[in-house]
Amino acid sequence: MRSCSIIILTYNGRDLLAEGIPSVIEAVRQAGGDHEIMIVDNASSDDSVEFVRRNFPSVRILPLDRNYRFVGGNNRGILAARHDIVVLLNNDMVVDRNFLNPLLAGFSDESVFAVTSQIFFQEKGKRREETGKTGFFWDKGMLYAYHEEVDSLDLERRYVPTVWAGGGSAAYDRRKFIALGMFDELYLPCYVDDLDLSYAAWGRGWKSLFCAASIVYHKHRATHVRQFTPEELDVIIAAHQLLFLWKNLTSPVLLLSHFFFLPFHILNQIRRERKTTLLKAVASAARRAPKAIRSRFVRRPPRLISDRALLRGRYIRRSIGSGQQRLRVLFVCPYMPCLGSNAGANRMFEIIRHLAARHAVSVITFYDEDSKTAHIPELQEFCTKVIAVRRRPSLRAPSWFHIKPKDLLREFATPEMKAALRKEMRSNDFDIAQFEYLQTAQLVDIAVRFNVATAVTEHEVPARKLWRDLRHAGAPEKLDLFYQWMVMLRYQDSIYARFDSLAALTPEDSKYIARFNPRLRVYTLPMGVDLSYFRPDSSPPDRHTLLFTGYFRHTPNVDAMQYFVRDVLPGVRTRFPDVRTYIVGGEVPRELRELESHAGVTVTGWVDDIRPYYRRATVFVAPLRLGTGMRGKVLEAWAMKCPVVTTPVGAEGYDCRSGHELLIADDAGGFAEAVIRLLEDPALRSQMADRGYAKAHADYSWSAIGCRYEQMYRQMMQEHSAPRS
Amino acid sequence: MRGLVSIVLAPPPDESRFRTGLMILSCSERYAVAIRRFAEEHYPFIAWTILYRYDSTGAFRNSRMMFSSDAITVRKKLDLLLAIRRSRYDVVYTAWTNEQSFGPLKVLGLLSNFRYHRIFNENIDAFYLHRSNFSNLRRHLLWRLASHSEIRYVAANVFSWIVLFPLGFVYLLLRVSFLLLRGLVTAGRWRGGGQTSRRSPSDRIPMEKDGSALNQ
Repeated sequence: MRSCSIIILTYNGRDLLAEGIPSVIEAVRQAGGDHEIMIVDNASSDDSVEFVRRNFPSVRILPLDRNYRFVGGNNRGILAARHDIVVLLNNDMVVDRNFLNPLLAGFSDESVFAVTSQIFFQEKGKRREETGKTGFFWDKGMLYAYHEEVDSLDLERRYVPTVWAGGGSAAYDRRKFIALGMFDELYLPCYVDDLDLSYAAWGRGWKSLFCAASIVYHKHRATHVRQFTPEELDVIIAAHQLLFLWKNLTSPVLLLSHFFFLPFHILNQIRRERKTTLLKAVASAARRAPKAIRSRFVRRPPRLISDRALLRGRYIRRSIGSGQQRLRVLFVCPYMPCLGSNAGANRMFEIIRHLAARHAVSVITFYDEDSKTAHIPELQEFCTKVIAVRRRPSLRAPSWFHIKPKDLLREFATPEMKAALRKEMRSNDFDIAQFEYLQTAQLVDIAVRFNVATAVTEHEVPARKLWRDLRHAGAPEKLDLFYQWMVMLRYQDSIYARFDSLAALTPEDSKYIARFNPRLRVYTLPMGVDLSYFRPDSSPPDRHTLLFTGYFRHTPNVDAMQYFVRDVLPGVRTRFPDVRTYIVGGEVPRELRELESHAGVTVTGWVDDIRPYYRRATVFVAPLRLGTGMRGKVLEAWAMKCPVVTTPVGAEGYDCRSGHELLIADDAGGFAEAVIRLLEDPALRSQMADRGYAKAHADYSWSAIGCRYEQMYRQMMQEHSAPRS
Repeated sequence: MRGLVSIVLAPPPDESRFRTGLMILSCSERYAVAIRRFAEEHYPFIAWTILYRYDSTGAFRNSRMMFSSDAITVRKKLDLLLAIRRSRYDVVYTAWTNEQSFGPLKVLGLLSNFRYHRIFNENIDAFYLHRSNFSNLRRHLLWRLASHSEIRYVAANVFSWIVLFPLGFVYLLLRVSFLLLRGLVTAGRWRGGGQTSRRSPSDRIPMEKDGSALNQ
């Protein structure tokens, strides 16, 4: 174990030292080894020095001739330290007895610059404003720095990258600290000096790590509240953040955007918060601007990582992320992931369940009806966190130029969802943000801002679906649909371009997405089926019974049944007049209900369990003409050993041949013939059902598809772990 | 007598003779719930049909109703209007609640072949669109003009369709042409669905049958 110098800077903090030093001595005793404890006294006017000398003779004292503040005092302490690792502690810190060893063990390789402890507040019940695990994001020309929440995964990972190591509770590599120019006196009296130094270290390729196992207890701002009012401290922090940008930003684009947006931020704060903090901060920072500009030219180790990579990229987050076994994944869903509602909800639920067995998965989901909240406990059983946001469409007109899909924006890009997502991103360092459908994908910018790797699963490619609708529409509708297709194609292309990875359900969808933007990384991750739930039994099916299942808010399902009952069924009835057709599924619209007037057609509406219908069905029909993506109903039929007749659209994405696992027919006559063929030939039915069953088991289990997701995530993480300069 | 002319020519409404009614929920959910409660409490003898916007009122989806305005094309919107006109409702309720983005539903209400048309404001105060209530209508419109928001929004919307839409449309055409061109170029690079893009190593992540992923 390496030895360290523990430096406690103090100014008139006799009472705080009386509380803190014994805890540090105990921690050193626990850690063992030759460690040094040094009190750096900023020329206190109380009897701090005498007090320490009298009560703690083993502690080294460095009395200074005047108050050099936080920056100057610590710099002098570090220069005087005897060991290569220095631990800086505020005088209002009480440390845990086991705090030291985990901190020092973090310096396992040469690239580590600092390791910081986990901070708890001494006052019980006080909101935990700081944890030690830090992050920042860049938005509209400003840098926002914050502390993140700490969870069990941080303990499991032991060391996680953090943006800056707090100057009051962290261990630093002394040589690197000095090489980087130490704390800059630009930041007198205090604050942001540690961010500045850690940022410079990251730029050099040196890491700052957070260690959750090393714990300190902080009496927050106990020293500074004696000297400054809270308002003055706010101005100091804001001014120092500005100076930090003026000193460190080298990217002309980022600098330009900073100065462009700064007046807007000032006006916004005055208008919304009735505060002038930022205005005062600008005035304060402007006085020190020449010094900040001079600091830009101070000789420091060469910058290897660019501002863009640090502020907007993923360099810090991913610096050790790719090697993690357990990932922290956030799913963003447009509706509640649950079983038995529709294929999309099933898929989301199954993938989440699979991933949650091996990773920490949180879910943010919309719900449109209060009854849907009943599914939250099911998700909570295996998810780290589930947040449900009521879908209340925004009333603001989103596109004055009419080039965006208004309904999509109005319904899903709601202020409530944006706020929830922002809050989650701010408080957790997710490795992956997994968006479901374009509906939520349009919120991707929030995840990008927080440097999280992003993926989207597109269950049905909207522009392709519209194009297919257009081909089947009448002449007057074509123009309308063509305009909507243009709007959607442009919009989805602009959204997809912001993702690290995309997943479509069928190769055709993948191809369609990638065709318009060859830079996209597109995967095909097909639909699956719960093979333990959908199991056949030995009971024989009913005579001449056809089945279709679907969720009828999905318009391709409605079209399929209208087409089948009007164009296909009469052909089947000429050969089998007693044929019965069951249309099973929820959210039945008026036009579908009207189909019950046809002989032998039953529209059941929502049923609790669809398996008995599969068992009774002689043939499963999927006469789909519209929509894209992969149809889960075909898989369910296969898993239940029910022979299937479908269209090329219905068979899309399946690795199968017509006449082998199912029958495929493109027109109404052919479809009727295929159904008749199966109804007439029990041997063919049985053969096809067996092959479909085998196919479902071989290729479409959820565990297999969940593994593909993991593989995709690993690839994404690997890609982002490489430094980008 | 039905439709817009009934506003001027129909006799004053006799609510006891109403049998069928259409509630057009051209407002956000909190108002929609209040209007529905009002209608069902005061007029339980009327067979109500609810027309709700697809995205706005999840709370109504499973209740007694006929229509949802999820029609995305002009043709389907026309179909909806014709279906409503054929239903010949005795009374049509529409919400004029000073909110943005429900314009088409309000217009639909006016075209719905009603016998009587009743409008609600955000306080769930209501009056019939009838000659006897012209003073109320005038007061309502003046109030809206004074409070600006809805009128300003309507004006901005009209401006956006007349002036900004053509600009947007030209941009759309150019952008989509570019995408199609790029699509054509990319299609030439395509190899039988195996290669998804220049950056994509594969469109499928190969799997072993036991579910473990293989390196590509």
